Amino acid sequence: MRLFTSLSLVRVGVWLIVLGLFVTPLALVVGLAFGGNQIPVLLDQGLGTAVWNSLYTTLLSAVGAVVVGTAIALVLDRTDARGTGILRLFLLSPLLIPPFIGAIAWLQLFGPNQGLNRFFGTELWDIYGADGVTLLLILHSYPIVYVVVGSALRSMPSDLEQAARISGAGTGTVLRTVTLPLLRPALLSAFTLTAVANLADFGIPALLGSPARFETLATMIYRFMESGTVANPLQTVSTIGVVLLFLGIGAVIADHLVALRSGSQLQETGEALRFRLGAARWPVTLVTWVVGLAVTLGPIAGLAYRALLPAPGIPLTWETVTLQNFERSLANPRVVEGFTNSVTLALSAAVICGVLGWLIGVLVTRTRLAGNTALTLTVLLPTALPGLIIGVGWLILGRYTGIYNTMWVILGAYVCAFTAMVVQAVRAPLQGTPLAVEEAARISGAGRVRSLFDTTGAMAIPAAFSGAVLVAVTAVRELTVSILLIAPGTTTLGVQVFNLQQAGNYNQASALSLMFALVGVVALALTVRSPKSAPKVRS
Amino acid sequence: MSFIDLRDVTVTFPDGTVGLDGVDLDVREQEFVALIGPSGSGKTTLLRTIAGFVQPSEGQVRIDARDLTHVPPEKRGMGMVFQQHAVWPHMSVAGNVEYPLKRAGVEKRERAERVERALRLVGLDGFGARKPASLSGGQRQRVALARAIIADPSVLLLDEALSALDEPLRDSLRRELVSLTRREGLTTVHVTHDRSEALSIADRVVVLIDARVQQVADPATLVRYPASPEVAAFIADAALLDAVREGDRISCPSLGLSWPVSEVQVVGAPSNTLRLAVLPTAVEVLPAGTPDAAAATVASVLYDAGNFSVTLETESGDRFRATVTGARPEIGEAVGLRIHRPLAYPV
Repeated sequence: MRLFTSLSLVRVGVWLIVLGLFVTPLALVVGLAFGGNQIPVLLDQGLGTAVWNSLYTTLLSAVGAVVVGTAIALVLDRTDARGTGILRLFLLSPLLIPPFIGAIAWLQLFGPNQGLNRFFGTELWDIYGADGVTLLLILHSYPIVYVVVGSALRSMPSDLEQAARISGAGTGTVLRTVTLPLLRPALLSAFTLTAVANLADFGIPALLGSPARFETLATMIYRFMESGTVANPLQTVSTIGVVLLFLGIGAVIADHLVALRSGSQLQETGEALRFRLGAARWPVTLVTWVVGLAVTLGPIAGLAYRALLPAPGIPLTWETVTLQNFERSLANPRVVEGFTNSVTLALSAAVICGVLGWLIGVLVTRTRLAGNTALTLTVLLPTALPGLIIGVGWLILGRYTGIYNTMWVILGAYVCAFTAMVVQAVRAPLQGTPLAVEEAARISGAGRVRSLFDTTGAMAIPAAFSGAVLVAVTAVRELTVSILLIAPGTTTLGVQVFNLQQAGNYNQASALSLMFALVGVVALALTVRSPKSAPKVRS
Repeated sequence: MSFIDLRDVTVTFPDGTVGLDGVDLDVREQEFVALIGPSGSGKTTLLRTIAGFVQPSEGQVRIDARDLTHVPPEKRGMGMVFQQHAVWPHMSVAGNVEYPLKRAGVEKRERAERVERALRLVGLDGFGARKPASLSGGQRQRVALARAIIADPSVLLLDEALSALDEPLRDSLRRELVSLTRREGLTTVHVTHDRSEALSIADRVVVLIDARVQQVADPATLVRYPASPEVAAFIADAALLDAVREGDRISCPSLGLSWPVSEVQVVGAPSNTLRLAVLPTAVEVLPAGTPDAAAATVASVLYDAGNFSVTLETESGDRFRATVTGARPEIGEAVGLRIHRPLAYPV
């Protein structure tokens, strides 16, 4: 009985933290929105256009990302195209660069009268506007599709495809009648994930849409908060927030249902079959390499070209190359302050998210208690919400609790936004672990809680650690959550880069972005390996 | 109905390990052949080479004297049943079964008739509209079997097709499989790790050890005259001992037993140093202290269909399997053992 009680205590503690950090800020947003009718004001401010813009860029970019990501997954994991090992790293690289940094980078190449447009002396393509926003959203979300679809491909038993081959089906027919239909749950899940992420994205439409007067829901929220165009900005943005909140909840539930339905009835069996491309082998290899190199080297080249120039408009020659942008930006006191704040916040958030995410991950996968599903969905909900909404929630919460204008409000928002990463990292390896692992500890005399944390809990620590590293790397380069929460003295690095770019200081913004991108690539390249070392016991 | 003919087939994997080493194999028309061997011996590799999923680095795979070595699996016209059944979860039972006919371009009316017949053959009458998820493991394996035979395959390949099933379902499906393949006159190659299954259902058994074919024989010959000590140990749990020939006697120093040459079954060329294989049927268990018997103790006892299957350990540390009738032997009990007509192989 005592053992049972101690497990209940752990649960009550976890639920209290989750209610305080996750449910309260979102409840405040909903409460404020329903406190008054701001719809007429919103319609007056162009809500219709913003909804339409958000809707079609989101859907187009999600469809585009699913098509591109799936094609890449099939080429890399299912064909005999050459050099797929290195290609995979190149093609995943947009995942390592925050979207707003990506937007800054491509802006240097395709901005009006910039980069390539200037080099060729003619307007190749103007990145500002709906097409630029959509393309950048695709570019930054197809790697997620690749990760989801790729892992589904790898867990698909190869004998399902072999059975079709021996039944007389050629490569294309196997793909059409067996592989793709079996991938349907993964494709749906990838579509939901990317649609939600793209609906929520702030950096790309703010940098590439706003200059062309192209407004989405996310940039509309920012406009209301930053410029006093409406009388009651908090209540107005809360109203938008509620719409996005319900869309997010719908997406989380949809994804959960798809995951339940597809279940784990498919298990790994042996080496996957690789399709022979035959005559198409070299063309496919070439195209994939061109895409891989473009998405990796394009932004780096764009940033480097801008960062090495002393001022806009000066041609790039050996004489004009300078490192002063790096020196100046690093000496900029506001950048230094942002850097210190971001590192402090990122490390604190990593520790808190690591411990909390580990606890929740172990609890929801290894116990059969009422409320586990609710706990999972609550913690995963912020991943489906625009960072701006979490920012608004914490803004309101900060006003009520008096922590507004301090770092605590940003830290709270980070924990709320990023704990899901650790939970996901911990859940994956634990779900496949047989119950016998804990039962062996129980039979050896360990209590319920002890058996849990001595066996599966301990086994999940490496996964929780790599989840926490991911949190730190994400939080240190984060823009969307903190942009509404900063105050004098508590600015973050992401906001500083964004502000430099908005203020027209492209050269320093590019220098900082380049360092961002390179640091991110290195840090994430190091953590990409560690999930493999996480415990994997198969039943 | 076809015959299979493998010539000097060698498979080397990208990491350098040898999957098959110069394998020759003939499977006659309408013959049921079982491939058997310890895990990692290459039996599944051999089956997948016949199917076309594995490309041999050397040698030829021929069906009906036609060279199929470089023909992809979908053009070989074979049927195959996989260990985890590989029934497609997104298609109905009928959709799964008619798939090979669709690929062969058979028109719809005929497809429906043949699906019905195939489902009847495997005992799944009226299951066509069901989804695989609603079927039991045994039923799914029947769907996989119907799919494998529906297009009148030249060869039916079975990759551990029964291994994922529980007894006694496995036994009944095994019997159905035998009568089905005989009735339909199918040339069948069956990979299994179950020795008694291979011996009980095959016309001929192929023993693979270390990527090589060690012996191809009918079950009775295989059990009575294994071609090498390794085959004897794998097929029949034979004990292996060193022995020497001195004049007209063969003696085993570690046991202190010897036999006249005429009472030893010598396999292969005469030699002075020999390897003895002692089958369980060659071991006679006697009371302790019997003259001309080696001293041993009972190490384990299993009840087996009216008799007891025992393991005996001698002072030299050699272990023998034997069958005892009558009273149950006790573990640790001292006994004597005699060996009749051991098999001897030149070293």
